[in-house]
Amino acid sequence: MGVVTRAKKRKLEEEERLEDRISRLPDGILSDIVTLLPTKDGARTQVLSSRWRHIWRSAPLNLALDALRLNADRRVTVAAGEISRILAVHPGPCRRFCTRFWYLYPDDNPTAATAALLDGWLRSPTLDGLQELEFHFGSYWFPLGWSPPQLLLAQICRFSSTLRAASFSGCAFPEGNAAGDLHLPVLKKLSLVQSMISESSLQALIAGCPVLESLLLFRMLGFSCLRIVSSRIRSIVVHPGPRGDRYSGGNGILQHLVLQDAPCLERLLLFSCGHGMVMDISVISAPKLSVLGALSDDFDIAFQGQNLTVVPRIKILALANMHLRLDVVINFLKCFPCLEELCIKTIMGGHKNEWGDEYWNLVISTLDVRVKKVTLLNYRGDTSHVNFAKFFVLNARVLESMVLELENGMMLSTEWIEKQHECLHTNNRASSGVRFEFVRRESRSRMPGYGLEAYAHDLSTVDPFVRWHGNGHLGYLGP
Amino acid sequence: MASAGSGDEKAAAAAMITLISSDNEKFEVTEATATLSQTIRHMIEDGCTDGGVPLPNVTSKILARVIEYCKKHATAAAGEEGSSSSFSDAAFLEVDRAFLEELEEFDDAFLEVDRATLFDLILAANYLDIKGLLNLTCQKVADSVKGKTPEQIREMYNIVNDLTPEEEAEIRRETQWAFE
Repeated sequence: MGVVTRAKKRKLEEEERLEDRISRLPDGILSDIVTLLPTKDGARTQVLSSRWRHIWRSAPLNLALDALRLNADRRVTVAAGEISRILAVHPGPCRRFCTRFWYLYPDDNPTAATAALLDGWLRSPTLDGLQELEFHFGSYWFPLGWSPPQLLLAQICRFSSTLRAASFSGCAFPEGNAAGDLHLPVLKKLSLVQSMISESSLQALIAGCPVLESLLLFRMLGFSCLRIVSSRIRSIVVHPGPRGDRYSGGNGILQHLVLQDAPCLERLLLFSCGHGMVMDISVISAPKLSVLGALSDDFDIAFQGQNLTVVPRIKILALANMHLRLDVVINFLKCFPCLEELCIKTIMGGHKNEWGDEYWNLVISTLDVRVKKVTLLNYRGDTSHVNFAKFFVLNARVLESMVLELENGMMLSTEWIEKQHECLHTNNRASSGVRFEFVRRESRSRMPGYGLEAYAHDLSTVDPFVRWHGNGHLGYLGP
Repeated sequence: MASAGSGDEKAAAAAMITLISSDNEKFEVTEATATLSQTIRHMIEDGCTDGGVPLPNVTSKILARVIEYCKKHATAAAGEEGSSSSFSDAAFLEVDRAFLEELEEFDDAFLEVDRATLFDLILAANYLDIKGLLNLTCQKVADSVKGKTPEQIREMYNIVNDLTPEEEAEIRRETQWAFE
């Protein structure tokens, strides 16, 4: 009996395994699944079977053909044509529309014809109800004297009630009140990349996004001061771009960032390109700000209008020091008494730390270093770096983890690591149990502009600086 | 009056709802958990939940999983509501973060199910109108299909291709760009 039951059960299981459950899902659910797929994957589902043939057309369109950026001009031309065709065959609505400048003018020359093409796309009824727009109109860079094409504001306004995420790059925002017309009541994510906008237009744009949660400003031109007044904003990422007319063509770049009233702001991430960029930050009201960085020697930060006063809430801080200088870092530590994680990237090497015994003794007797995790990037393991790291080993009472990412090209050997442990006095620590991790860097860490989108809008990671450096882990090596 | 009002609210928050699966198993859940389902929320609003809510399309096995999801996410929803009134609470941010991480881990673990269960969960989420659960499960299916050829997808999900070669060729011609 038992055998028969088992056999029957197995047969049932086998039948279940071979059943086409997915095709029996209702149309609405199949549409939900198809709209989540990349453009090509979604369209390919049409050939699965007769059941699937009409699903793609009934699902909200996800139109983002980024994979077509190939060197061959033919492909580029095809992409522009295909976008027109897809918009013609798909009845809409559209969930996401992403256009890249190379569809329009692969040779970087905006012409009236390409502007008309884009205009036509944006007017297509297929795009009705658009939720996500990536509008990469111009080039990635501004050659001197080149003026970026104007944003087609009127066409974008028709999506204003449905847009949840928008990214604009390589375009110029219209002057004056025109940008204020862009009222985006449900927009949560905004990226402005290598575009031109005046200070008043930018303020008006942000004011027109009442539920904005995250903002990316990458190498923007046209304004030198920005005051953040936003009741919902949680994350701001700024990369001001290099100074100098060669890049900006005489247009302003951001130099003063004022956190005027940002009750929900949790993170402010600043990225410099290491070309002597100077920016000052004033924090007037940002009570929830807890992740800050990377502050460099060039950043001048003021809280409540005073330079470097105590900022109790900052828990995660990143610093980009041109030279690894303990006195600079200690000054920061004094300002951030609740700091739990400190990530320091040194850009140049070869300089000695300059401080005397007196300074040491004073620091040790007065400072309570409560960081739990210290990460040093571009660590060389020479005397000045060892002394720097040793300060935390010996003085951070509750240190749990220290990550030392080696300078590019340095190799790890067991002997070297043993020597390092010796130099760092890892065995002399009062509190044991600190995890030391030596990490070899695989390649030069670079941050392309579009990678910053993730920094700005992905709020799920607790520590955004874990992705600051491309690293290759070689395993954990305790003392 | 004010105290009576808050008392009523408390009573409402603690109210229990009985859900009855297709195989007649009864589940007692709080109203906060149950109302993650828009379908049940409407029934409560219409006052037709006395004597339990029969859910003839959901088996006890699946309903138990759905309730597990709703319980976890109902706590999250409550946290979000609370957040607006606790701007100045120093501990809030930390709790918020830790909880979001926990929720993400929960969702990942929750999706570790066999395919049959995944489809049952999708259908239950659709029937009960639980948006978060529907998104989560549909995303799981979409992820499994992403980057695969039609042949691979058919094999994976036992889809029988009933298109004639001519029909298939026609679709491929129409959407040539998708097959390049």
